[in-house]
Amino acid sequence: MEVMPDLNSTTRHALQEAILQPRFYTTDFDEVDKLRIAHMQEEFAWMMREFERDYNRNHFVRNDEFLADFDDMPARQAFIEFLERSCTAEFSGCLLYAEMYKHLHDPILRATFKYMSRDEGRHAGFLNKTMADLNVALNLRVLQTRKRYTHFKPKFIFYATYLSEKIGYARYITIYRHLERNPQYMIHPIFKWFEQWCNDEYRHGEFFALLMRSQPELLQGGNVRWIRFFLLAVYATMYLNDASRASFYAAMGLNWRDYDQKVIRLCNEIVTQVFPVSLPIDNPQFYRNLDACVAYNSQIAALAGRTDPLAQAQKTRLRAAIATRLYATYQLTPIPTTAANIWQGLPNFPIYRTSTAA
Amino acid sequence: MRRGLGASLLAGAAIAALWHWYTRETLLRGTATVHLQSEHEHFHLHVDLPSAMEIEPGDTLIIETMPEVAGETHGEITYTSPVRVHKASWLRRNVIKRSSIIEISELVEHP
Repeated sequence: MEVMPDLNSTTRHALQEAILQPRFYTTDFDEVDKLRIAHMQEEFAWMMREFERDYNRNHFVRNDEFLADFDDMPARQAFIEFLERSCTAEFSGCLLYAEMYKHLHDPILRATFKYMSRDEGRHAGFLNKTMADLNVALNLRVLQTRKRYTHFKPKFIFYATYLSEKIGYARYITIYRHLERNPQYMIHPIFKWFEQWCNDEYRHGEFFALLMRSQPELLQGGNVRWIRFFLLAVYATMYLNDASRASFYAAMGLNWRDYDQKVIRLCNEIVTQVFPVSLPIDNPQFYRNLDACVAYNSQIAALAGRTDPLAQAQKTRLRAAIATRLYATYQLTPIPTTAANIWQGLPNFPIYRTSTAA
Repeated sequence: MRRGLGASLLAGAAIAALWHWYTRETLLRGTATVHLQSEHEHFHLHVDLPSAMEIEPGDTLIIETMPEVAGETHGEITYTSPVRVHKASWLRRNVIKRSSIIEISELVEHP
């Protein structure tokens, strides 16, 4: 364990080691490198300049509020786990984008990935420091071994990362707006930073939306089935995870289910900016199925620790029930994107305008 | 009876051979440049490997030296370190390439 140099000396909590388990990805970098963006060069260059502006360069500056005593803050352990998960996600994103930067040759794509890696590393640092305030130390030695590099096809990375960035935006802004209206639930000052922070996530998503628009085949034909798959995977993963973290959301005055449904609605609206379909979240069967999955998942959690054959059989049956419900949800007729429901963008968020339209 | 036993032994040997192939690793050694920053402003750890050491699915990379830092690095530290890459077998690499979709929850999970 490491000794953190400037911990809050008054803390009563024992030094804890952060659990950081970053994911290491590879992809077919040559395939990404072959992407042709010349026909939209001007828009990609505009996007790169947006990142170059570095809107949040001076945002992640801590103030005295971070020096307060957080020993008795509500849901302290759940908050630490939230920080660990956030730091892991940001750090993993930082590595993935840096690998793209290293492997690609197009100067605009290279620069854009480098800027996005900068943002993710900055977020990870801010979270890392907040963990240190709570007497949670990060053991850098866990990063010495990069195990089990996973591989995803480039298009899977584009769909999943786009959605991850956009749902990340939706999550952060929904928490921020809620705490803005209900400041009595502000359990830690870090949430005050979320409004501008989540603009980074939104902007990263804008880049992936542009990248997908530049390769129309990614948004047509059989790939529409992959888009529906990833939409469901992202929504269901979040819904199941948050159901098991209800106490954390309750500490912030949020009902996890209402919160998740708000986030899914916002994300589902945003994705119409690029995807030809979105999921039918107003179909009553949609949440009926997801709620059933939550119930099955909690039954699996209740069997944790039991290894007897009966428990194993029950777990298998419950997992099969989750898979069946998710498949049924996947089969629901999606909502086509039309001129009437397409996402118009965030108010006051910079958007690209062609020189002829300007 | 004897034929059945022979077939079972053959199947067992085939499975053992496949498993041996799957788990076999080739060790590569080299020297990499490591860029580490761990502080409030930024947190990253990037590794520039020699060009002959391309990471592929299923590989494991081990950075042999890490600086002793007390929580924070005070700026980016760049240093060279011996590294080991445990190259996965062709079989493992291809199994991982074709099955990673089942690990998609890793890619889509966001805090």
